[in-house]
Order: sequence, then C-alpha cells, then structure tokens
Amino acid sequence: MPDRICPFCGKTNPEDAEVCMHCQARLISSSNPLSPSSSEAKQELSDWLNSTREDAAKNAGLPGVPSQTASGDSSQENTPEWLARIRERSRAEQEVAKADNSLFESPESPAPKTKESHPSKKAKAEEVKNEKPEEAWLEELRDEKDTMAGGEPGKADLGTPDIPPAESEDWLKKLDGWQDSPEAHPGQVKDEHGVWVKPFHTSDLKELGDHPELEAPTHVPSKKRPGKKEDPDQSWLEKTRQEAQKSEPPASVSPEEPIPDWLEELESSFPPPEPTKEKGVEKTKKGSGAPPVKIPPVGSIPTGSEEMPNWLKNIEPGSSRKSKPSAPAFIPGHDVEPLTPSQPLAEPPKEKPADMEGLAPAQLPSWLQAMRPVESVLPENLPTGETSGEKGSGALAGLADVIPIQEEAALVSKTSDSTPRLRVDDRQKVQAQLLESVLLEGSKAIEIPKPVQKKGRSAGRILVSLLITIFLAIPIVMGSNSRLMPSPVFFAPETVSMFTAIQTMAPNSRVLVILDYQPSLAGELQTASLPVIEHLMAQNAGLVFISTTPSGPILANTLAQLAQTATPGFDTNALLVNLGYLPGGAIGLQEFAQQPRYTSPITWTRFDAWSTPVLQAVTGLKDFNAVLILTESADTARIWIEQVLPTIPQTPSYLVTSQQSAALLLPYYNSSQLKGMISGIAGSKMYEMLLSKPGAAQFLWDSYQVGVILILVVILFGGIFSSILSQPKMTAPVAKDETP
Amino acid sequence: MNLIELIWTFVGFFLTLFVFSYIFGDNILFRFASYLLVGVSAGYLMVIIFYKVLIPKIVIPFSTGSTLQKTLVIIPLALGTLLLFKLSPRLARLGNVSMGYLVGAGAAVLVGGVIFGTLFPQTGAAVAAFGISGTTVAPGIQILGAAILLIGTITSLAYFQFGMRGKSMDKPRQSKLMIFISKVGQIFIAVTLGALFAGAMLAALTALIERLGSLWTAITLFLH
Repeated sequence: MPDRICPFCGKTNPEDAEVCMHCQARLISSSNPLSPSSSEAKQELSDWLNSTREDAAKNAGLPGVPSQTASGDSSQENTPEWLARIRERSRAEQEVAKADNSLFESPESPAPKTKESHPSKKAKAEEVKNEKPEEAWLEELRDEKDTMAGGEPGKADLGTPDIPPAESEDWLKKLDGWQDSPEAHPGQVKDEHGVWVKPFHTSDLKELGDHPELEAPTHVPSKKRPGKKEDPDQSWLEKTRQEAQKSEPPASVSPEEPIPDWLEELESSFPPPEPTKEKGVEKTKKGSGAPPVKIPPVGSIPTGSEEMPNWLKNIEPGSSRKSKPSAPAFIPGHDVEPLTPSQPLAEPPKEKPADMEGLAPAQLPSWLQAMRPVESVLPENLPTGETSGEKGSGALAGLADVIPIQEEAALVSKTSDSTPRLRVDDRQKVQAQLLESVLLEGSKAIEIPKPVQKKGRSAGRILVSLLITIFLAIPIVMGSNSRLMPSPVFFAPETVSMFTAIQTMAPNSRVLVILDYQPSLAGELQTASLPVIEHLMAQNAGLVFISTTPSGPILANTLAQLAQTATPGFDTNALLVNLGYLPGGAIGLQEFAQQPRYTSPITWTRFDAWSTPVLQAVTGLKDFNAVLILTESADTARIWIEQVLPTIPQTPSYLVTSQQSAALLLPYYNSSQLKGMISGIAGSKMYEMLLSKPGAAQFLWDSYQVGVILILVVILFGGIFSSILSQPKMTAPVAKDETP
Repeated sequence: MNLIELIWTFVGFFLTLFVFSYIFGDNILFRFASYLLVGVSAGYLMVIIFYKVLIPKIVIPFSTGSTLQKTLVIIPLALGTLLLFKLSPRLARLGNVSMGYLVGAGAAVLVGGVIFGTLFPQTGAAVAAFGISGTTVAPGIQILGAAILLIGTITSLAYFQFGMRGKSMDKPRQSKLMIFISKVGQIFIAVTLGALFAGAMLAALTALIERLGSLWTAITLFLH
C-alpha cells in the first residue's frame, strides 16, 4: 500500500509522512508490527495472558508444561517458598508461552473477519461454556484475543457479529495495536512489575475463590483521579481496561449506540454478586470436579450464574479501584468513552465515578501481602519521558499521557520492609554504644574536677597553723629579755673565723658587699647579716654594695640604714657606696671581676661611683680588703665563688647565707675558699654573742627555738598519727588475699 | 619614726595579714597580696633595666662615647633587637643568633668557673682532709672525719653509676660490691637531703618569726 492510513482518522497520507496530515497524529511505520503474528508481538504478550494459557494448557494436558512440584532448580531449597513458587511458575509460564505462541501463529496480515466465522466461533464459545464451565470466561477472553489477532478458526470467538466488517476490522486493528504496545500490558511496562504479576495470574486467581473479599475488577471506571497514588498491583487491570476503552474506535462503540450481541451475552454471563463465601467455595470445588485441593484452579470458576464464584458474584460496577488484581478480565464497560482524535486523552478524568462511592476498600490478606515484593522491586524514580510524551508505537501512537502507568509507578515508594537493615546482635550493639560514647567523650572538653576540701583536713590545717603561730608569737610578745631558751654554747668555727677576720681588719678597709638575696628571705638574711655589717661599720670599713638581683640595691639601702642605727658614728656618705644592679649573671660577674670600673660606672643614685672616697683608689677587685657575700641561694653563692673569687685569691671572702643553703656551701669554707661563714639566725646569734651586742637575732632567738621544738613535735606526732590511720588500709588487702 | 615609715609599716602589716589569710584557704586577700607583689616586681624590674642597663650601656655610649664605643654598642644593640623577634612565632628564628650567643657564652663561663672554682678546689679539700698537720683537733678524729667524707663522696658518686655488665645470654646486672656501695651512698644522700629539708624548714620558720616580729613591732607602734 503506497499510502499510509492514519489509524485515528482513517485518512490516507503519503508514504513518507510520519504525522497525519489531517489529525496530526503520529503515523505508524510499516515496520511497526501491528499484527500479533510478528515476533515482537509474540514476545510482548502479557503475563496475565500467559498465565491463562498456562492454566489452559494444564487443563488441556499439553506436554512440556512442567508441574509445579517438579523443579530442577538446585537453589530452590535455599529460597523461600513463595519465591520458589514465583520462579517455578514464571518458568512454566515462559514455556507455556512458547508453546502457545505457535497456536497464535497467524498469517502476516490480519484477515478480515467474515460473518461466517463469527457464528462458528460463537457456537464454539457456547460449547466451551457448556463443557468446561470452570474456565469459561478465561477461555472466552483468550478466544476473543485470538479472534482479534486473526487466530485459528477453530477457536471460539466472542466476536462482534453485529459490527460491520469494516468497523470491526478497524477496531480490532487498534485493539491489536494496543495489545502489542508496551502500555497495553501492565506486565510488560516494567519487568519488575511483571515479576509479581505473573504468579497472580494463575495461583492467586485460584485463591480468590477462598477470599471473596478480594473482588474481581470487572467494572472499570471511565474516570480516574489524576495524580492519585495507587497501588500498582491494585489497578493494573483498571489501567488496561481504561486504555482499552480509550483506544476503542469512537464510531464503533458508544454508550448511546446499541450494544452488540456478543457484548450482551458477555454481560449476561456475570450475575449480580452474592456475598456468600462458603457457598461460592463449595460450588467452585464441586464444579471443578478436581480432587479436593485448597486452592481451586482458575478454570474452575463457572460462568453460569448458579456456579458463579464469590469474587465474581461480588463484582459491582466501579468496585475495581480499591480491589486487588485478581482476574485479567477485559470487559468493555458501559462507560467507555468514544475515542476521538481531537479529544485530549492526556488528561484523565478527575472525578471519581458515582458507582465507586459507598464501596469498602478491599484489603489484601497477609499471605497475599507477603507475596508482593513490588515495593522492593520497583525503583523509586522511573523515567517519565514516556508518560509525559507521545507514544511512538501501537494504537496510542501520537497521543500523550494516555497511559500514565510509569508516572504512577514512580509514585510507588519503597517501604520500610524492603530497605536493607543491618542485623546486629546484642554484643555488637553494646560495642557500637561504647564506640559512640568514646567518640562523644573525645569531643567533649575534659572538666577538671575541683579538689574537694575535706572539712576535717581544713580544720586541722587551721588548727596547726594557729597553734604554731601562737607558740611562736608568745616569745616575741614577751620580749628579748625573756630568756626562755638557752643561748648556744657551741660556736661554729666558720662563724668564729669570720668574726676574727673582721675583728682584725685594718681601719678604712674596703669591703665589697655582694647582696644577692630575694625579698622573701630578707627577714632571715637581714637578721643574719646585720651584726656583720654593724661590725664592719664599727671598724670604719668602706662598704661597696653591689647586687645581681634587681631588688638587691633597695635591700642594701635598708640593711645599711638598719646597721647605721646601731652604729651612729659610721659616715654613710663617705664610706658607703651602692653600685646597684649588676646585669648579665655569670658573664656580668666575670666582666665585673676583670674591669669593675667599666661594668658599674655609676652608683645607685646615678653618681660617678669611682670618684667617691671609697673607690677612688680602686682599679680592680684585688684592691678590696675583703669580699662579703650575702645570699640565700647556693647557686648564686657558688657563681660568685667560682667566677670572682679565683680572680682575687689573696682577698679573704666571707659568706652570710640562709639556713637552707648552709649545708651546700659549707664545703667551700672547708676547702678554705671562704674564710668565714654565717648561716641563719643561729649563726647570727653566735655572732652577736661574739660581739656581745644583742640584736635582732636575740629578739627572734627564743621564738626560733620554740619553733624548732614545735616542728619536731609536729613531725613526730604526725608520723605516729599517720601510721595509725594507714594501718587498717595496709592490712585489709592481706586479709582479703588469705581468704579463698 | 616619721609618718612615711609608719605608713609603710602598716602597709607591710596588712599585706602580711593578707598573706597569712591563706591559712583559711585561697581567698581574695591572699590573691591581692600575691598579684601586688608580682605587679610591683615587674614594674620595678622594668625601671631598673631602663636606668641600669639601657641608659648606661646604650644611650650614654651613643650620645657621649667615642666612635669606637659607638661602633661596639651596635653589636649588643643588634643582638638585643634580634632577641625581640622571639616574641613572634613566625620570626622567632631570627632571635636564635642572640640566644645562641647567650647560651654559648654562658655555658663556657659556667664550665670554666665550675672546673676552677668548685671541682679542683673541692677535690683538693677532700684529699687535704687527711692531712693532720696544722689542725687543732685530734688526729684520730681528723682522720675519721676525712674517712667519712671520702666514703660519703665515693659511695654517693657510685649511687649514680648505672653501668652494668653481663654475659651475652644473661641479663646485665650490677655486681654485688657495686650494689653495696650504692646502698651506702644512698644513705649519705638521704642524710644530705634531710639536712637540706631541715634547712628549708628552718629558713621558712625564720621568715615566719621575722614577720611575726614585724607585726608585733607595728602593733606596739600603733599602741604607743
């Protein structure tokens, strides 16, 4: 045929035209198989139809159909029962489909239906109804398909005898195109969809007889709510029915036109529903004649009103929206709207049909719900290009949004049951919680707990402190004349040496006084060095103070002032020079020992130091008659001894130090590096006794002795008390270890 | 005693009481006295360094010194300036030159002083202790004292000797003689540390007594 005929408007178009010149519909190419005899059409047969073929083949005893129990799959033992059933049935259906495809083989071009063929097919259908009532309606439906596909003449046909041949041919062509198109078969739109649908065609339909609440969708509403999320398995049959209704030629089928005979017969075969469950089941079993099985075969469903199963009896118009897919029946309803090329089919009707109201939504039983892996199989987001775009082939070619099945399938989201869940046991949960707690603790700032002060310990500390303070204060309050404690009778040789050396010092001698003690220990060092300074002042020795600590110059002035009060005849302006602070530490001392004029050119009061009477004749340290070191630190004293004294081996050196450093500095006296030494109040007390001039040391001596005795008592009783308290703690673990 | 001395006496009196308040735990009075000491010391140190170091060592030579003195002043001035870069973590390494000079010169000076001021004289003194000529004590006591000093020195040094020998298959161990000597040295070290601790206690006691005496003096001045 050189020209192309538009399948919608029926007008001719040029051969190379892809779009109809009259209705702008996309023309079907010649290569597009409209005929069911093509190989592609064979492969795209719907699953539900295959299932019906399988049942038919079983009933007919076709060879090659494997039984349900015979399975060679080695993995069946490891698979769940429902999955094994699904696989088994899928495999059987494929084989049956292959076997049945040969039955559907037909001439390449669909032969026009003749009137002679219709009565024979109709008679055959009636005969089939009478002989095999259990599979009547499915056989009819299958025969109807065969008829539409131009199948075998021997098959029964529910054809349309009243329809003119031209109209029926056109209508059947479009129906074939719809059947061959992917949109027409819900099981072929997506493979995932067909996986679960396939087993329902055979086994689940059989079980519908036991579950009358699962109503078979026999009536398809013509209007549908757009965008409503529906269960894909719930309304796939509705969709196919709707699409079939939409794809019907407008001129052939119309609600206003008289219904053909074959349609009346088909409608008359569905009696009004009878919601009697037990009766329907019993009748179904009786009618089938099969051995007593739990699930009757699909073919056992009678077509007569007296043998109608429950699910078929309960069929009500418009009740298929809420029902689950049960029987793949395609029955043209009354509400089929005429399909016209100008009618926009992309927008589905929004209003719910009136006959759907008042119907209780059917609910799937648990066993059927468990067999529905559709949520886990279907992807969440399906491509919607086909949905929103035009159809490229089939009866709906050129029309957009006719079958929004992908859009609705895309709305199906995964349920929580299909999401992979991590199976953990209690031990793993505990470990995960531990890890979580560790991570949380690592991110938190560590709070340093405040030291808890025990009231008893604080009270004890206060008590001991007050006790010591009171005992030390009593001698001071009583005065230096109390004589509570005896004076030392043994004089240290280093103290005696020092006294002797100063006592024998020539008048107007120059003494370098190195004052290097900190203010914190000024009480001890000042008390210890005060009798020595007074002694030197009494000898009219020129005193030159220098310090390596910043606070030294001030302490030197204070010491000189205190000593001057005891020796009022000493001329501080002429015989006293304060060189102040000497920076540099050991290096500064080394430099001062080498060139003192350059190192300390000015006095503390910023006068020329070396122009004073004391320092006029001094060119180096060797010109000093003695060196007196006043320090509480053994390190400071050692640095002076190591850095300065070796440069003036002929100059006698003396040391006044604290009691805490006396033990470390005494070897320098024993090695004759120091000619004399005073340590602490005890040495000062001795020196005062040697001077026969009580001073600050005498004022503090009694308190000092009381303090020493008190410290000894506290240490003694503290040790005893501590040992008593720690005794139970030490024996407790031993006793515990001995007990088994 | 004039008014200024009296005022400073009472300032010292109250500051001493603030420090003594630590007997009842850490409190604001103790912290005030502590922070005052730190602050006054830092300020005083800054003034001392300015007047006793910077002016006489840097300013005066630059202003009144000869060319040679001015040239020589550049060296410590440059080293001191580089030392300021230690304040910046990014430029701290520029101050390493000054730090290297200070550490090197200080270590050299200290080592020389230790050798000639402590090591040789103390070694000679330990040997001279056995000399009985020219001493006023009995020779037996002098020898005994020198022997104790020698034993204490040797055993204390042996205590810090951690070297040991052993066969290839055996665990290295000290000889029994060395272990005995170390034990004796440990006794001497313990006695020495005890003496140092006692000296520290006596020094603290002396400081406390001196403060109590100053408080009593202030009280008597206030009462009179």
